[in-house]
Amino acid sequence: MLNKGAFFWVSVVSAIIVLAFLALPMISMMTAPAPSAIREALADKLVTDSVLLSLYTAGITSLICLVVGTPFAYLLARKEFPGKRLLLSIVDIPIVIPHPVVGIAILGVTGRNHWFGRLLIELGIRVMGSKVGIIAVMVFVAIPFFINAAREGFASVSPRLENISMSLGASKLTTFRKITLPLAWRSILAGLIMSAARALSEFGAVVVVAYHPMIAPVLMYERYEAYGLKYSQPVAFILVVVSLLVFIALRFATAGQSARVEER
Amino acid sequence: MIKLRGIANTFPAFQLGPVDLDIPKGSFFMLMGPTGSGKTLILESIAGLATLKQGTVTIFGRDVTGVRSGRRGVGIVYQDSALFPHLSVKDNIAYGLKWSKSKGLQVPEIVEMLDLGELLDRLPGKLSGGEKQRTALARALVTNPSVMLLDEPMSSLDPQFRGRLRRELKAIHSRTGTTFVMATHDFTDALSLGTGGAVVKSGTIEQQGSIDEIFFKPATPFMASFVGMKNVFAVKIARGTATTPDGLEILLVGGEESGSGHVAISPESIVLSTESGRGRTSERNHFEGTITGIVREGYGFIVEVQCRTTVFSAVVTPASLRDLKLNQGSHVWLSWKASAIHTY
Repeated sequence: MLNKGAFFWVSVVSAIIVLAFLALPMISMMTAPAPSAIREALADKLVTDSVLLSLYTAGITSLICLVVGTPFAYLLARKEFPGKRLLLSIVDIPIVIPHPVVGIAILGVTGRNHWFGRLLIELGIRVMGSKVGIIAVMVFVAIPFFINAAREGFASVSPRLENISMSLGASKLTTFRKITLPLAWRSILAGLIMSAARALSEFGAVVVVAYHPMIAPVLMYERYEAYGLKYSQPVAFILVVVSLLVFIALRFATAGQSARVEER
Repeated sequence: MIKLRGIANTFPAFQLGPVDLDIPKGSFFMLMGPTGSGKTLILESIAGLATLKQGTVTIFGRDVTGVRSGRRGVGIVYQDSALFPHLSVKDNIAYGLKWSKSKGLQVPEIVEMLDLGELLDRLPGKLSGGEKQRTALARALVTNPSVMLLDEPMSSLDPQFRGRLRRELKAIHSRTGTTFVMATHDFTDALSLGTGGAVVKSGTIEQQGSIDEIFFKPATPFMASFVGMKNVFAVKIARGTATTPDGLEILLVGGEESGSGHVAISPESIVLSTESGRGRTSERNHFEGTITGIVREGYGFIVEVQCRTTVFSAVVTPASLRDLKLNQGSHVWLSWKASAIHTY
């Protein structure tokens, strides 16, 4: 042990600092609320409604990312074309801009002063203070994570496998369904989980577009502002536990399919 | 006949074509050329897997230029096998059956022919290189393609597996009568399997014809160098004699066009001796020189002999090297027949 060089020990110390920095607040948050406070929060309809709304909107967000983002991610993985780098940069914009700006930008195009906003109003779609607004914001901030993960997954599948499938008679769509998708599935799942996690954690943009109906992070913020830390912690605890359960269930549900691909 | 006429496309760092190529029906056609010369793109153009900006592809009289890949009756096997990693050997082989209507070799026959019976339930990750290529071959064969495209199928195999796959390919070719087109840069493949071939250089066809023509009558200096001709010299040709810049007069068969050109003499055609054979052998060309290098190559030796400033290479067996007591600095005589010289 003593023979290890200085670089090794610097790495160990750095790992301890980072892990402590990440773990301590989480441990504190998960252990702070008394069991009675958690039971009380679970019985509070406002809390359960907000957690369910968070899960619902994040779930819909992931689905939209899957449906809209998958073909786009495939295009970005397979084709070379002028302006591709610009497109990739545009996809990453939501990752780098401050979250309240996202909310304000979405309100800008969906309000009465914008033709798109007027079109939505004509169609009877309300964005501000609605689930549609929450989902729109969530898709905006989450879709880059999905597209990037799915793109990498598709890029890792050799185009030759698709060529072989098509030379054997399969159409492009069948090839995608039987070859590309099963091989890229793990990355797509990772993208889904990351986009859902990103959507669940969004606060800054949602609070601008839709304070009500209240998703869990907004409720937590409201409880913290009105009553202090002690009353916001049980909500946080419940949201973290429920989110973890959902992600673990998702991982298990797809473990069988992924395991076969692993053996390649 | 498979006919490619003027096929071409431009890529960011590569220009394919225009390529004109005639591949006889039922042949085992070798597509040779250096790495990156465009062999795979030509195969993929026949298969309908490469986008073409211009040109036509006709397979046995049917224009398939706009026809999608799976409807051309073409199978393809890549260098890296490209087996579907999530499907077992059995499922890989059976993959194309759903869309195949043609009748010919049946799956059990193919499985037996390629000795895959024991491997059917394995995933590709658990196969050796040779087993992977045999599976890829079986997968392409089950649809009974009229054209089989092989993209350097042996380049990733160990030498002992190459021989086996070569024999299997030969057997399948003679049994099915399918037209095989194989990209390779291995001359052993070309010489042992090919009935005809073409050499690709920078996206265009440099020469096409029979295997003998390609290897023994290279049409350009590039071809001569590509097929391993070591004695390629710039010369001036006049009245049946090729003169090197240092004044060596090489006698030709006669009837060659006068002017500047190149001669190539295969190292196997040059006979080495320690005394002059002039007047005693049928060889018309005799030159005295000094051995400047002896290099082991395979089972024989390449002996480099300098005559004036021109250096010739000749192939010598280990027994000859020992019997003639050839060493660096030895004086020797080189001789070869006029008919062994190629001019272009």
